[in-house]
Amino acid sequence: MKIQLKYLFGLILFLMLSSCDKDIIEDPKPDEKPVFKIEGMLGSEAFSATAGDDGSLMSTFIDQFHHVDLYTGKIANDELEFELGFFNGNIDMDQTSIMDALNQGILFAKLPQTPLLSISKDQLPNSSLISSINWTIDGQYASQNTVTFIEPGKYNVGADVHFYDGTSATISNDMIIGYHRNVACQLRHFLGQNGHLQVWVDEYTQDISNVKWYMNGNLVSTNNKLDTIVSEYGYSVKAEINFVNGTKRTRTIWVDGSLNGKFIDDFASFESNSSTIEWDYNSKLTIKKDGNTYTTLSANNQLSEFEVLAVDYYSTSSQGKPIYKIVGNIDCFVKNVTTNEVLPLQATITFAVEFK
Amino acid sequence: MSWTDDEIDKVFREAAEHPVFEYQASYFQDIEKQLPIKKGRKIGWYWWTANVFIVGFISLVFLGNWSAKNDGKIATVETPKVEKDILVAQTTVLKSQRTRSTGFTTTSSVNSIDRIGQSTKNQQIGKNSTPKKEVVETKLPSSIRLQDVLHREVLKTENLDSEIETLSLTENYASLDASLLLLELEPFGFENQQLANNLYPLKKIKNSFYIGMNAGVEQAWTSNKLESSSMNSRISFELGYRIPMRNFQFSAGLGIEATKLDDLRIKERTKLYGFGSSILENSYQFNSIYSLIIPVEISKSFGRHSIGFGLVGEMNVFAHASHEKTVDGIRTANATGFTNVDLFNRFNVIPSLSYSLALTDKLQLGLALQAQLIQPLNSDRFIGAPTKLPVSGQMFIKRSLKF
Repeated sequence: MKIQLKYLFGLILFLMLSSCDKDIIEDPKPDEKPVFKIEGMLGSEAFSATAGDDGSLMSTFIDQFHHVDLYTGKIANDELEFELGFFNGNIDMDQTSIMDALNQGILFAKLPQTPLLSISKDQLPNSSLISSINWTIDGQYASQNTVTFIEPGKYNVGADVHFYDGTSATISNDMIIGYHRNVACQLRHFLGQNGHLQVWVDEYTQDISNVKWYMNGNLVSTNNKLDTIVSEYGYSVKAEINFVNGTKRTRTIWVDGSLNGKFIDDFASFESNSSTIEWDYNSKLTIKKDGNTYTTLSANNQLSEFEVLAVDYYSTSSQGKPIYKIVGNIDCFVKNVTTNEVLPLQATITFAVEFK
Repeated sequence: MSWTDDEIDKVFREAAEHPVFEYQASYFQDIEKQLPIKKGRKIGWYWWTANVFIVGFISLVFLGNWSAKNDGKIATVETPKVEKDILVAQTTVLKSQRTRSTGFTTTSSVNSIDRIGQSTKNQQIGKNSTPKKEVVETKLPSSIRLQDVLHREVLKTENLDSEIETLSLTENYASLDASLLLLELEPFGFENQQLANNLYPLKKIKNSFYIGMNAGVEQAWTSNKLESSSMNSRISFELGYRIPMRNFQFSAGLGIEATKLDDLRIKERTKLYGFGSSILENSYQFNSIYSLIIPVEISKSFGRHSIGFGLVGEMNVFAHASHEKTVDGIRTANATGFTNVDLFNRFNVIPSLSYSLALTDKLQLGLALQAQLIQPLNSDRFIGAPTKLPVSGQMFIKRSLKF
């Protein structure tokens, strides 16, 4: 009987083992098809690259071009580098949607042949009191009295104004040049005899949602109009203006309470005088092949086509940014940055671009 | 002239008190000359037969000349006429010796085989010249018992119808074993050994349960030219029922078998594309596979020796494997555990040829050759070429059970 129990126990154990979950053998996985690749013609020479083959890698990153985001993807190996980027648009808004723009068709950005904007000391209303202005762009000295902007961008322009009485003041403003501005506006001020200072937003093209007023860095008011009393010392007055359409701008002026007429006006309002060139959501293509670098920026691509066939979400970058897969056809011209040789380029791309 | 009771008593009394036994070496020499098998070759007869059989079977399989011919012949052991004659001669000689030892007058001697079967009319017992019947050359079945042979031959030869003869034979049987020992004739040869076995047969258990254990090696299920050949090892336990039939024995059982797999691997590489490409490598190392087996066998015994043919039905139940996954050489998963047998054939049929030796009346030790008729692998994912008809050699031990 004991022997029988042993066998019974063994059989039960065997059945228990055989009934365990045993699904650890995975089905074989075939090699996947390449995801990202380019192939086309540059002039009369064919080129192609497939991310994952022949050392080619697809990478995405958000580059900056004069403080404007350039959403870029690149397929590169030792012999070929194909880089395609899309400039951001509506850069005066917090929330932008490049996807809509991509589906509406892409233009190629082209560097302007003439300056987009120039600001000189004489354009300021109190220029008779100003001896000189040292202009800085993005913290770097740019020029004196007159500053010129050639390439589109969002610049932080600083004006170090020297008055004839020997005093000086410095303010800076963000200026959007070469991109679409959704709102135009200008800060204006009035300083009364008793130091009564009034500052408001004028000539705005969109309704104002709210304004935050800062004096020398301190928040002093959230009314649409700053109304305060100042002493004889100078004050930096900054307004953070939120418009109803979602546009957000910041303007800064400098006011001297001594009633000597010294002030630095809102020179950022001169941006509305800039060229009508807008690079919003335009593309930039650069290809390096056989030691030569070609770019669309300096070529005339007014009649060129960038047909976007599909835009699909692909993955998320390590920085948490969404990555989209763009399928499209490109037919454009590129110029050799060294020899200025212009070549036609046709390409079919399946590309990755990282957006915010 | 007839013998009175007193005379007979006297003769026996004198014989008992003064036994006359003159052993002469020529007796044995005469017999030895007639024996066809030398003593030294008799001992391992079955073993050598089994070995030759096994080696031959292996050779056939490896040479690819294996054919499943089965002409249905039943193995028979025929006793050659010469050997039967020898047996008769031995019997006659023994009879002659016994006659001498008991004081009976013997006037004839058996010096050659040719004389066997001749008339023995000149043989007399004592003064009595009663003619004897001719010795009839008889085809003897190999399984006949030695006592029967002796008894029958003596009766045929001497035609003693009196109680004296019966008494003398009965008395002389007692000295038969002593004579055999003295002559060192215990292993007579094949037939004699068989007969001796039958004189002292193993105690056979009828319709008995048994437990058995098999252990051995098997050709690996895959072969790789780049690597040295490997072998699987097997062990199984079975519980079965044995039914002796006339000349055969049928057994069937149920068991569990574990096969330790040597170098049975899957290594699959997958290229994954994305921003670049990664090599995903899935490696499986199968360590063992476990099966239910149903062994069925029919065997024939030759004394302690048995040769059997069987079929083993096998059902693979689960396997044990290790799994390692790497991406570009970096291990991302490592697991070991039981898995299903989807990559193997679920069922298999394995013919088996076995030889066994009964160590005791309950214990049996043997060798078996097996070949899987169905390719055990059911997938081409394994590394190496599948082995066709993997052959295994096993040693087994079986023990009869009494509940």
